[in-house]
Amino acid sequence: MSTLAASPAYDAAARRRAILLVCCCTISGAAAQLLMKIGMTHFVPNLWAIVTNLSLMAGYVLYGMNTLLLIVALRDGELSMLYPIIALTYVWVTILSYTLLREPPNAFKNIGIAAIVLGVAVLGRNGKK
Amino acid sequence: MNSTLTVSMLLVLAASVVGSFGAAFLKLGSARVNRNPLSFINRYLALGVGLYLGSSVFYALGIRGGQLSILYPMVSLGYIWTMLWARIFFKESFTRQKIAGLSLILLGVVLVGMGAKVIHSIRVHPWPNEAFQPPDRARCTGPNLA
Repeated sequence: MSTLAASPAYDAAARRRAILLVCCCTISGAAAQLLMKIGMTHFVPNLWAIVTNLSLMAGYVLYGMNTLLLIVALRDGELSMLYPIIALTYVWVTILSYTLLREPPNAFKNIGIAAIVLGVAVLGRNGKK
Repeated sequence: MNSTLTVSMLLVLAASVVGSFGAAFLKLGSARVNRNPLSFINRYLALGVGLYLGSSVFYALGIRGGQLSILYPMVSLGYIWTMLWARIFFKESFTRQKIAGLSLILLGVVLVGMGAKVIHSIRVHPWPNEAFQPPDRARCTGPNLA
C-alpha cells in the first residue's frame, strides 16, 4: 500500500527509523499501562474526578499518542520485523508490575508472557510488507 | 479465584472483543478513504474509532480490580478475535502460521491466568521481638496498589 516501501528510496535508514520508533512505542506503551492502572486505583465514578485524575489522563494521552505512532511505524516497516518488537510491551508491563506495583511474580506468569510474545512474533511472520 | 478478579477478567475480555470490532471497522472505513480529505469522515471509520475508545473504557474499569501482570496479558486475546473477523468478514485465510501464533497466545493467556491462583507464601516478620525492629520501619511498607 505504501508508496514509500515500493520506491527505491526506501532503504535501511527508513527501516531502522521504524524499528527505533516501535522500540520507543513499547516503552511508552508500558508506561501508559502503568499510569492507567495507578489512576484507576483511586477511581471515583464522577466526571470531574475522572478528568482531574492526573495519572489516568496522562496514561490515556500517552496510550493515544502511542497508537498513532505505531500506525506510522507499521506503515513504513516490515510487519515480521516490527511485530516481535511490539510484543515486548508485554514484557515491560510485567516487569513494571513486579517492581513498581509490587505484584508477586511466579513461573506461570513468566512462561505465559513468553508464550504470548512468541505467539505474536509467529503471527507477524505471516504478514507481508 | 475471587469474584472481583472474575469481573475484571470479563471486563478485559469484553474490551478485547469490542476493540477487535473496532479494528474491523477501521479496515472497512480505510478502504473508503481516497485523495479527498473529507473521505476520512465516513461512518465506518467513526464507528471504528468509537469502538476503540469504548474498549479502553471497559479495559480501564477492568484493570481496577486485579493485578496488572494478570490482566494486561489478556489484551492479547484481541489478536484472536481480529483474526476471526478477518476470516469471517474479509475472507482472509487461516494459515498454519496464524493458527500456531494464536494457539501460543491462547496458551500464554491461560498460563498467566493460572498465575493468579498461585498462593504466595506469607512473609513471616523477621523481627518478632519489638526490641530488634529495624530502625526505618517506613521502608518496609510500600504502596499497596493491587
